[in-house]
Amino acid sequence: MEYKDYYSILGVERDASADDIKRAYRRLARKYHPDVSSETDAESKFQELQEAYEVLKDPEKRAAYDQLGQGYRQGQDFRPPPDWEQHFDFGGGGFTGGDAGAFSDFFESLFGRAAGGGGTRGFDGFGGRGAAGGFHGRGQDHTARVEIPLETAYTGGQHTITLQSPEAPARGNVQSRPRSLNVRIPAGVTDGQQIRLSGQGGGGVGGGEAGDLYLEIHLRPHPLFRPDGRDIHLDLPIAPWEAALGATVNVPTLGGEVDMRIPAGARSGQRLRLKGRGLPGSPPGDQYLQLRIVAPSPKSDEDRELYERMRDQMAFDPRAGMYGRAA
Amino acid sequence: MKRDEPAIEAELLEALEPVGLRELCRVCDIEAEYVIDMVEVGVIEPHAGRRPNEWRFPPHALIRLQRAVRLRRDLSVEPAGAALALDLIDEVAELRRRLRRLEGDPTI
Repeated sequence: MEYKDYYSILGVERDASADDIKRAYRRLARKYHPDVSSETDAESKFQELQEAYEVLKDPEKRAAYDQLGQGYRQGQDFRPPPDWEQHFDFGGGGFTGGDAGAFSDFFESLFGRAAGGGGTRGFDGFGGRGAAGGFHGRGQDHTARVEIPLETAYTGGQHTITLQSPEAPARGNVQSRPRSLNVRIPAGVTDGQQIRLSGQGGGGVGGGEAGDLYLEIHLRPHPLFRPDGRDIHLDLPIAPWEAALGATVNVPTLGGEVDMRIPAGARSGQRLRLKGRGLPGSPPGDQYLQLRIVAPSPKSDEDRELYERMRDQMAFDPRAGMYGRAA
Repeated sequence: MKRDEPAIEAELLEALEPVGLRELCRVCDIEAEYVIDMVEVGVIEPHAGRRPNEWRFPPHALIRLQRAVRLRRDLSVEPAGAALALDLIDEVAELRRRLRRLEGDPTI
């Protein structure tokens, strides 16, 4: 098994004082706490910190760790001497850390499994709730973030999500086991909203009911549409003559293409609304189109002549407003 | 997961029934006094009911309360600090969403 250098995990020297260790743990725990951090590996990082702190804050465990680990480096293959446990007694000390259920194989081989220390922590990105005390009770609620395509949010329907569920088997390393769930997403879910999957959290203890799984929905960035709550924003390129003369143009929406009337005299940056064409709900969102006038590059002599005629006839100064001149 | 397994129904948190004090205590595995402390400092807010046993909370309160419980357990954050932290966490999440929208906007 791999040797874990708890000192380097906490970023302290081997002779660090108890106060130094506590300060280092607090600082890193704030940074990597899954409820606070946006780091993608916050969950496993926080677990590692907790494990390191569990050992280094306790003088007995720290002394045992120091003695056994002399000369080892992080990641090096480690075997504890066969009779080493006789020299130390950790019985009754308990585990004061938040959630000792998913500590590493290395930790468990040194200090035993964490009796009553809570269940495994939750899925990636978030934490699980500490287990109910005693030997029966409701399972933990788990929370996780998942990303779904915008189209799924619009139509609703089945979507397979994969969660990393850390688990501590009886023997062997703590592993992140991918868990796939086929979920029916309600239509109209918006970015940042939470959904509940009843009974999909941690298993109950002693016949207790299973906990729930809460998923925070993130909408995958879309090449065209930008959601804002239930509203959908889209940049709509239009030709200068469409803007000047008005036109009926074909516009993509999540529900398919629709024809929309651009009013004559439309300006770049103007916003038009397609009522009720956003994400479904009560009321449904709208789709907003921000007009962007795109001038074509002249490709032929005729094209160039057209531009020249416009220049000569239109007396248009797009920078008029900059100098207080009349347009 | 087998392909033919029926899909798990997801419920929108907002669409769930409001929860009472007893339900919050049961799900978060905490005492009522602790929930009352959390209400006093504004971690969660009942939207109905005058006395604690009449309180009704929006379903989102459950998530906030569970986070506050974890912040206390893991970082020794007391209820008043948790209220502040959770407000800031929500604000950062909202700003990140806005940033994502703006970064996806070629006109900005």
